[in-house]
Amino acid sequence: MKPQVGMALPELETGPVSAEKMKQVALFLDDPNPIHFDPDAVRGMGLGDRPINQGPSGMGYVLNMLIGFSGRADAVRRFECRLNGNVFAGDELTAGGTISAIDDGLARCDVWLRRGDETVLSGTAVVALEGSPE
Amino acid sequence: MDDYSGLVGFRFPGGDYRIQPHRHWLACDAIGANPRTFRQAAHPLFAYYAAVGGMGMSLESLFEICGAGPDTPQPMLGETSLDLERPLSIGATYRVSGTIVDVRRRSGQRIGPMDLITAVFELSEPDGQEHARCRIVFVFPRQPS
Repeated sequence: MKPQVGMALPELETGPVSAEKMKQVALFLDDPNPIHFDPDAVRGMGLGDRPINQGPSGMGYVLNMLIGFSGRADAVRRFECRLNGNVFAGDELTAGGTISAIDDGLARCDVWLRRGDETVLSGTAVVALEGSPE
Repeated sequence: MDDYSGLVGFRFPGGDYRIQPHRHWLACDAIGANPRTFRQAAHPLFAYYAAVGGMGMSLESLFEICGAGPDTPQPMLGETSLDLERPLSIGATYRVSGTIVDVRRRSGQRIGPMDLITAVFELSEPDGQEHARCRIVFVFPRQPS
Protein backbone atom coordinates (compact mmCIF):
# COMPACT_ATOMS: atom_id res chain seq x y z
CA MET A 1 0.00 0.00 0.00
CA LYS A 2 1.37 3.38 -0.99
CA PRO A 3 2.15 5.49 2.11
CA GLN A 4 -0.27 8.38 2.60
CA VAL A 5 -1.11 10.90 5.27
CA GLY A 6 -3.23 9.38 8.01
CA MET A 7 -2.05 5.86 7.32
CA ALA A 8 -1.30 3.76 10.38
CA LEU A 9 2.17 2.24 10.46
CA PRO A 10 2.36 -1.54 10.80
CA GLU A 11 2.35 -2.26 14.51
CA LEU A 12 5.10 -4.27 16.14
CA GLU A 13 4.51 -6.45 19.20
CA THR A 14 7.55 -6.89 21.44
CA GLY A 15 6.43 -9.98 23.33
CA PRO A 16 7.33 -10.08 27.05
CA VAL A 17 10.23 -7.71 27.83
CA SER A 18 13.14 -9.86 28.97
CA ALA A 19 15.02 -9.24 32.23
CA GLU A 20 17.97 -11.14 30.75
CA LYS A 21 18.19 -8.70 27.83
CA MET A 22 18.22 -5.84 30.34
CA LYS A 23 21.38 -7.33 31.85
CA GLN A 24 22.88 -7.53 28.34
CA VAL A 25 22.11 -3.84 27.77
CA ALA A 26 23.41 -2.86 31.23
CA LEU A 27 26.74 -4.48 30.36
CA PHE A 28 26.70 -2.99 26.87
CA LEU A 29 26.12 0.55 28.17
CA ASP A 30 28.16 0.05 31.36
CA ASP A 31 25.04 1.31 33.12
CA PRO A 32 25.44 1.13 36.92
CA ASN A 33 21.76 1.68 37.69
CA PRO A 34 20.65 -1.44 39.64
CA ILE A 35 16.98 -1.04 38.74
CA HIS A 36 17.87 -2.74 35.44
CA PHE A 37 19.28 -5.93 36.96
CA ASP A 38 18.57 -6.17 40.70
CA PRO A 39 14.93 -6.77 41.74
CA ASP A 40 15.90 -5.99 45.38
CA ALA A 41 17.01 -2.51 44.30
CA VAL A 42 13.69 -1.99 42.52
CA ARG A 43 11.82 -3.12 45.65
CA GLY A 44 13.99 -0.86 47.82
CA MET A 45 12.94 2.13 45.75
CA GLY A 46 9.28 1.24 46.03
CA LEU A 47 8.98 0.68 42.29
CA GLY A 48 7.64 -2.88 42.38
CA ASP A 49 9.49 -6.14 42.18
CA ARG A 50 10.46 -6.47 38.52
CA PRO A 51 13.55 -4.98 36.84
CA ILE A 52 12.92 -1.79 34.88
CA ASN A 53 13.84 -1.68 31.21
CA GLN A 54 16.43 0.78 29.91
CA GLY A 55 14.82 3.78 28.23
CA PRO A 56 16.87 3.43 25.03
CA SER A 57 15.49 -0.08 24.54
CA GLY A 58 11.99 1.37 24.33
CA MET A 59 13.31 3.72 21.65
CA GLY A 60 14.77 0.68 19.95
CA TYR A 61 11.39 -1.07 19.75
CA VAL A 62 9.86 1.96 18.03
CA LEU A 63 12.83 2.26 15.67
CA ASN A 64 12.41 -1.45 14.86
CA MET A 65 8.81 -0.70 13.92
CA LEU A 66 9.97 2.15 11.64
CA ILE A 67 12.60 -0.09 10.04
CA GLY A 68 9.87 -2.66 9.44
CA PHE A 69 7.65 -0.03 7.82
CA SER A 70 10.37 1.36 5.56
CA GLY A 71 12.02 -1.97 4.84
CA ARG A 72 15.44 -0.37 5.36
CA ALA A 73 17.74 0.27 8.31
CA ASP A 74 18.96 3.54 6.76
CA ALA A 75 15.54 5.17 6.26
CA VAL A 76 15.18 6.83 9.67
CA ARG A 77 16.43 10.43 9.41
CA ARG A 78 15.11 11.83 12.67
CA PHE A 79 13.59 10.43 15.82
CA GLU A 80 12.47 12.35 18.87
CA CYS A 81 10.69 10.97 21.90
CA ARG A 82 9.62 11.48 25.46
CA LEU A 83 9.54 8.60 27.91
CA ASN A 84 6.33 8.74 29.88
CA GLY A 85 6.58 5.72 32.17
CA ASN A 86 8.63 2.77 33.31
CA VAL A 87 8.60 -0.54 31.42
CA PHE A 88 9.02 -3.64 33.56
CA ALA A 89 10.28 -7.13 32.85
CA GLY A 90 7.42 -9.20 31.50
CA ASP A 91 5.51 -6.24 30.07
CA GLU A 92 4.15 -6.75 26.57
CA LEU A 93 4.35 -3.67 24.39
CA THR A 94 3.11 -2.52 21.03
CA ALA A 95 4.97 0.01 18.88
CA GLY A 96 3.06 1.92 16.26
CA GLY A 97 2.34 5.26 14.72
CA THR A 98 0.63 7.29 12.03
CA ILE A 99 1.92 9.24 9.05
CA SER A 100 1.19 12.92 9.73
CA ALA A 101 2.75 14.46 6.62
CA ILE A 102 4.62 13.52 3.46
CA ASP A 103 7.03 16.01 1.98
CA ASP A 104 9.83 15.61 -0.52
CA GLY A 105 9.97 11.83 -0.16
CA LEU A 106 10.00 11.98 3.63
CA ALA A 107 7.20 10.74 5.87
CA ARG A 108 6.70 12.57 9.13
CA CYS A 109 5.20 10.23 11.67
CA ASP A 110 3.71 10.38 15.13
CA VAL A 111 4.99 7.32 16.95
CA TRP A 112 4.24 5.61 20.23
CA LEU A 113 4.97 2.63 22.44
CA ARG A 114 2.05 1.30 24.47
CA ARG A 115 1.42 -1.18 27.24
CA GLY A 116 -2.26 -1.90 26.80
CA ASP A 117 -3.94 1.49 26.83
CA GLU A 118 -1.01 3.25 28.50
CA THR A 119 1.45 5.16 26.31
CA VAL A 120 4.93 4.70 27.80
CA LEU A 121 6.77 6.53 24.99
CA SER A 122 5.56 9.09 22.48
CA GLY A 123 7.35 11.02 19.82
CA THR A 124 7.86 11.85 16.18
CA ALA A 125 10.03 10.49 13.40
CA VAL A 126 11.06 11.34 9.87
CA VAL A 127 11.48 8.37 7.55
CA ALA A 128 12.64 8.30 3.93
CA LEU A 129 10.04 6.67 1.72
CA GLU A 130 12.26 5.85 -1.23
CA GLY A 131 12.38 2.09 -1.51
CA SER A 132 9.63 1.56 1.04
CA PRO A 133 7.16 -1.21 0.26
CA GLU A 134 4.07 -0.03 -1.58
CA MET B 1 19.39 20.92 47.43
CA ASP B 2 22.60 21.59 45.56
CA ASP B 3 22.49 23.77 42.47
CA TYR B 4 23.77 22.04 39.33
CA SER B 5 23.26 24.91 36.91
CA GLY B 6 27.04 25.33 36.82
CA LEU B 7 27.20 22.18 34.69
CA VAL B 8 25.94 24.12 31.67
CA GLY B 9 28.85 24.33 29.25
CA PHE B 10 30.55 21.21 30.58
CA ARG B 11 32.34 19.57 27.69
CA PHE B 12 32.65 15.81 27.71
CA PRO B 13 36.16 14.45 27.12
CA GLY B 14 34.84 12.78 23.96
CA GLY B 15 36.60 10.11 21.99
CA ASP B 16 36.23 7.64 19.18
CA TYR B 17 33.50 5.02 18.97
CA ARG B 18 33.61 2.14 16.54
CA ILE B 19 30.43 0.24 15.73
CA GLN B 20 32.03 -3.15 16.05
CA PRO B 21 30.08 -5.83 14.17
CA HIS B 22 29.78 -8.07 17.23
CA ARG B 23 28.63 -5.11 19.35
CA HIS B 24 26.03 -4.26 16.72
CA TRP B 25 24.85 -7.87 16.65
CA LEU B 26 24.49 -8.06 20.43
CA ALA B 27 22.77 -4.68 20.68
CA CYS B 28 20.23 -5.61 18.01
CA ASP B 29 19.58 -8.91 19.72
CA ALA B 30 18.96 -7.11 23.02
CA ILE B 31 16.28 -4.82 21.56
CA GLY B 32 14.47 -7.39 19.47
CA ALA B 33 15.91 -6.46 16.07
CA ASN B 34 17.12 -9.32 13.89
CA PRO B 35 20.89 -8.74 13.58
CA ARG B 36 21.03 -10.78 10.37
CA THR B 37 18.89 -8.27 8.47
CA PHE B 38 21.51 -5.50 8.81
CA ARG B 39 24.20 -5.32 6.14
CA GLN B 40 25.98 -1.96 5.89
CA ALA B 41 23.71 0.53 7.67
CA ALA B 42 23.68 0.25 11.44
CA HIS B 43 20.56 0.31 13.58
CA PRO B 44 19.68 4.00 14.08
CA LEU B 45 19.72 3.53 17.87
CA PHE B 46 23.51 3.51 17.49
CA ALA B 47 23.35 7.31 17.30
CA TYR B 48 22.49 7.03 21.01
CA TYR B 49 24.79 4.13 21.81
CA ALA B 50 27.75 5.81 20.10
CA ALA B 51 27.11 9.09 21.91
CA VAL B 52 27.08 7.42 25.31
CA GLY B 53 29.84 4.95 24.46
CA GLY B 54 32.14 7.63 23.04
CA MET B 55 31.54 10.54 25.40
CA GLY B 56 34.81 9.84 27.15
CA MET B 57 33.46 9.04 30.57
CA SER B 58 31.32 6.32 32.08
CA LEU B 59 27.65 6.76 32.83
CA GLU B 60 28.59 6.25 36.48
CA SER B 61 30.95 9.24 36.30
CA LEU B 62 28.37 11.34 34.49
CA PHE B 63 25.74 10.49 37.09
CA GLU B 64 28.24 11.35 39.84
CA ILE B 65 28.99 14.86 38.56
CA CYS B 66 25.24 15.35 38.22
CA GLY B 67 24.79 14.45 41.88
CA ALA B 68 23.54 10.86 41.64
CA GLY B 69 25.11 7.85 43.28
CA PRO B 70 24.30 4.54 44.92
CA ASP B 71 22.55 6.24 47.84
CA THR B 72 20.42 8.68 45.85
CA PRO B 73 17.34 8.22 43.68
CA GLN B 74 18.46 6.87 40.33
CA PRO B 75 18.48 9.02 37.18
CA MET B 76 16.17 8.24 34.29
CA LEU B 77 16.05 8.97 30.60
CA GLY B 78 13.49 11.70 29.97
CA GLU B 79 13.70 12.66 26.31
CA THR B 80 15.94 11.91 23.36
CA SER B 81 16.29 13.10 19.81
CA LEU B 82 18.41 11.53 17.11
CA ASP B 83 19.28 13.32 13.87
CA LEU B 84 20.99 11.24 11.24
CA GLU B 85 22.42 13.28 8.39
CA ARG B 86 23.54 10.00 6.89
CA PRO B 87 23.13 6.42 8.08
CA LEU B 88 25.71 5.11 10.51
CA SER B 89 27.72 2.18 9.20
CA ILE B 90 28.59 -1.09 10.85
CA GLY B 91 32.36 -1.23 11.29
CA ALA B 92 32.86 2.56 11.00
CA THR B 93 34.50 4.75 13.63
CA TYR B 94 32.99 8.06 14.72
CA ARG B 95 34.45 10.91 16.71
CA VAL B 96 32.15 11.88 19.56
CA SER B 97 31.99 15.29 21.20
CA GLY B 98 29.40 16.55 23.61
CA THR B 99 28.34 19.36 25.88
CA ILE B 100 25.83 19.84 28.68
CA VAL B 101 23.62 22.58 27.29
CA ASP B 102 20.85 22.98 29.84
CA VAL B 103 19.98 22.32 33.49
CA ARG B 104 16.44 23.00 34.64
CA ARG B 105 14.89 22.37 38.03
CA ARG B 106 11.33 21.10 37.94
CA SER B 107 8.91 19.48 40.32
CA GLY B 108 6.56 16.63 39.47
CA GLN B 109 3.69 15.01 41.35
CA ARG B 110 5.20 11.54 41.11
CA ILE B 111 8.93 12.27 41.33
CA GLY B 112 9.00 15.49 43.33
CA PRO B 113 11.90 17.88 42.77
CA MET B 114 14.16 16.97 39.87
CA ASP B 115 16.79 18.40 37.58
CA LEU B 116 16.44 17.94 33.82
CA ILE B 117 19.98 17.88 32.48
CA THR B 118 20.34 18.09 28.70
CA ALA B 119 23.43 16.96 26.82
CA VAL B 120 24.02 17.25 23.09
CA PHE B 121 26.46 14.98 21.28
CA GLU B 122 27.83 15.17 17.76
CA LEU B 123 29.10 12.15 15.87
CA SER B 124 31.59 13.04 13.16
CA GLU B 125 33.71 11.24 10.67
CA PRO B 126 37.49 11.44 11.18
CA ASP B 127 37.60 14.38 8.71
CA GLY B 128 35.29 16.32 11.01
CA GLN B 129 32.15 16.11 8.86
CA GLU B 130 29.12 15.80 11.14
CA HIS B 131 27.27 12.56 10.69
CA ALA B 132 24.66 12.46 13.43
CA ARG B 133 23.51 14.32 16.49
CA CYS B 134 22.01 13.00 19.70
CA ARG B 135 20.27 15.06 22.34
CA ILE B 136 19.59 13.42 25.68
CA VAL B 137 17.57 14.79 28.60
CA PHE B 138 18.39 12.97 31.82
CA VAL B 139 16.03 13.24 34.78
CA PHE B 140 17.76 13.43 38.16
CA PRO B 141 15.28 13.15 41.05
CA ARG B 142 16.38 15.26 44.03
CA GLN B 143 15.72 14.67 47.68
CA PRO B 144 14.57 17.81 49.50
CA SER B 145 17.24 18.85 52.03
